[in-house]
Amino acid sequence: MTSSIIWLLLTVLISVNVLLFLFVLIKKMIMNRVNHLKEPVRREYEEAFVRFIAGQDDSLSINPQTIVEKKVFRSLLLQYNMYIEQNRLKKVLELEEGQAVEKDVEKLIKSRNVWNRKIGIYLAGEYKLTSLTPVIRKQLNKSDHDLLFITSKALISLADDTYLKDILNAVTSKDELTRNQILSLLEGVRGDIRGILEEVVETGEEGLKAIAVEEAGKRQYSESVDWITELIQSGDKELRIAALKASYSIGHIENEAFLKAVFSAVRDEYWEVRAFLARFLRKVASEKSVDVLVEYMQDSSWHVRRNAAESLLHHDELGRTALIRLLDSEDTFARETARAVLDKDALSRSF
Amino acid sequence: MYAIAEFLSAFIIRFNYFVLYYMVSINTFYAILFIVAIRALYIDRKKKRYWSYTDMEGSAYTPPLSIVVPSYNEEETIVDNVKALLSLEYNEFELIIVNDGSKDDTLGQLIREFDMVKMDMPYRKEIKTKEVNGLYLSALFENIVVVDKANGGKADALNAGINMSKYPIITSIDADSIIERDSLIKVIRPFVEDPTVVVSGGVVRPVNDCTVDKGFIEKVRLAKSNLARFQTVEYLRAFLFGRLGLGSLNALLIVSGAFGVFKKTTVIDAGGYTEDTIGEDMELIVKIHRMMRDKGKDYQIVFVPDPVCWTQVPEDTAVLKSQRKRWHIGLMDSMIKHKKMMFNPKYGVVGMLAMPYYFFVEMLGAIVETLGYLTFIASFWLGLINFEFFTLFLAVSILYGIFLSTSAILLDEYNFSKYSEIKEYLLLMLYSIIENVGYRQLTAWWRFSAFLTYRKKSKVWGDMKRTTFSKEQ
Repeated sequence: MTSSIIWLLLTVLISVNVLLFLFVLIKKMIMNRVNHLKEPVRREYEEAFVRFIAGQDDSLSINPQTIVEKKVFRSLLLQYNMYIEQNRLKKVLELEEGQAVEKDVEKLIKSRNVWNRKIGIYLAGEYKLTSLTPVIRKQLNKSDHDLLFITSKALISLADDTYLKDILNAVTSKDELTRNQILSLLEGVRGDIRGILEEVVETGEEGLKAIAVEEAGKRQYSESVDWITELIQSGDKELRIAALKASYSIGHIENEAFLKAVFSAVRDEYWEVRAFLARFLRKVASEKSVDVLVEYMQDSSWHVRRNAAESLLHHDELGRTALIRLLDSEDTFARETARAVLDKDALSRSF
Repeated sequence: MYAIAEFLSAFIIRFNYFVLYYMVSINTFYAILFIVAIRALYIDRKKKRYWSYTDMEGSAYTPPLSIVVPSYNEEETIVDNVKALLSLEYNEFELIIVNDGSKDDTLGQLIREFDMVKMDMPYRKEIKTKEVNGLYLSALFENIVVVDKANGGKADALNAGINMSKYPIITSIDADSIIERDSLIKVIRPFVEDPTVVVSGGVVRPVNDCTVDKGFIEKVRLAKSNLARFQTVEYLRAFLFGRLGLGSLNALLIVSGAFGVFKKTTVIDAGGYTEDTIGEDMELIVKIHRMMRDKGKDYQIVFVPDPVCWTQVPEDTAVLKSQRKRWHIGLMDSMIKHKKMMFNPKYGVVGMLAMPYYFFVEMLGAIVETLGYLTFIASFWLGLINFEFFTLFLAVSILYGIFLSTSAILLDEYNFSKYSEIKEYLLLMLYSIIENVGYRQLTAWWRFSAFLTYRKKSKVWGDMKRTTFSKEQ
């Protein structure tokens, strides 16, 4: 009995191993052949794509017919889509194979398999298939982290800021995406979104508010100055940090209320806030900021001290003099950091 | 005398049954792991089709990275490696090269090539290390720092690098290893997707006989030496379903020292790399699991099958033997140090699955295997088992091993197709068969002897013979 079971196992294993071997072999042979066939097609098509992108040709002078040609066309379209102007891309998608691409992508988006749906949505965004926007928008309701991110990204790619409110609502209600993921989505929006950000700052939840003010600062929106002034006095640590990050992005501005608000965070209980303030102060050319930075050189947090030292260097002579003064400090760290920063400065100046 | 013979026979028969059940259990576990790995590869394959690494590379929100390169007597390859690392496709990173008291001209090469200038710089000594003799900054590249320190071993060098790092994510890359240009961005993906990820590891592959130019792989080739070929099959099997399978279950206990990415605060909280062990990579991961579970924190230690780090594997039996013994002693160190985690439900899948797996399969497997060979031969000689049963059982074990190896080769070819020549795949298949006769027994014996000599050996790194990479074949 045992022997017969083992015999059976043996036969099964031999068959499976032979099948695996044959599968790998045949797959490898086919792939090598296909790659060989793809090479000249790719060369020809790539040249046509480059000419079309550069505006040398008015239309794409290729007409993919075989499977290999179609595969090459699709991979090149994916590779070069971001370099093709919107109206020219439309022309490409009007080609027979372009229409086939659109159909396939739609099929993927409507697939029951979530992975295929994600691929479809991603491709729709990359190929700028605007006709599929309504179908994609529906996916914002689904609770899947990746799907939400890919859908948001595709919607931004297809319609820029049109659905940004829906995206931010979906993101907030599901709490699926990380702060950096939301910020990276906003990075892709080209339009003016100050209205949407304002609404978020006024009515949004704290996490989203922090993102909005940070983004507003990055985009140098003038409204961000008021938001920073307000949020830097908030009881929420994250909001204060976001306000300081935004301040860093907009840099030094001669606005007394703004500077007063920023300086109010000097004795913040959290080292993270003080560290971001120290970083921001490299942009504020004033004696007061140098005084704060010198004080920060003896802060209890290493991060604050390090940022303070780096920031002092940005204050030219004023900062350099302060650093030189710190070389005689009783505080070992302040002394050594001052020396290191000055040495580093000398090194970068010498080259 | 008769009583002794009776006792021996009874013992051998029982041991044979034990080996039989042991093999069946292990192979069942492998089969489950294989299915889990296939699912993970399927997901990875799909993800690659909708994840844009180009966007990640260009984003200001991709976390900046500190790359720590511990180096000891690497004068022949260090400059090329640093140059290659400098041209990696990544938005913002710094390179921290730690010269761990090299006896050769490693430091001199770096100073001359990158215009390194010695600086007095204060830094946070969050992890205790051997004395740092000097810190050097480059006048040519803002993102290179060289830490020159007294020799203290790889763990100590890595800890010194971590102390110097300024970014929240760190990676350790061996100085003799080569990573593909887009490997960093790929291995960092889990950190972007999921804030609970604290460690992410990629695949390590043998670089022997590949064409390497200026620190990058120009042409992937299968190694010419038999030993390196056996190791290629082993690496594929270990990474493409062992680690991938365990990684999907958050039960990974090793992220290769050659290529792993870590959240810095987690490493520091865990006390950094442990110096009194030679398996510092495994020890760190086990410590992280233990710390995170003790604190009741949500965390993930993941394995990504796509990013590749190429490393030189030994082509010399003596070096390979010393490497395998070292790995086994490292494994035993971690198992013994963290025995509290074994079968402890508090540690979840790590305590209930990963620790027992590494203990019974990886650590004791070599002993059972070696003794199994001996008792089977004795049984056959004493007429305790039937010849047909013996050969059939042996054949099934070998064929199952071949099945696992060929499956790994198949998964590799299906997903990554690193080797372009059909001949290379045929050779890999062939080596997955012949490794069962000789090579497997040899490595089992080395691990068995490491087990026997454990604690007698001093825990020091053996010298690994480094060769320059081949520029053109």
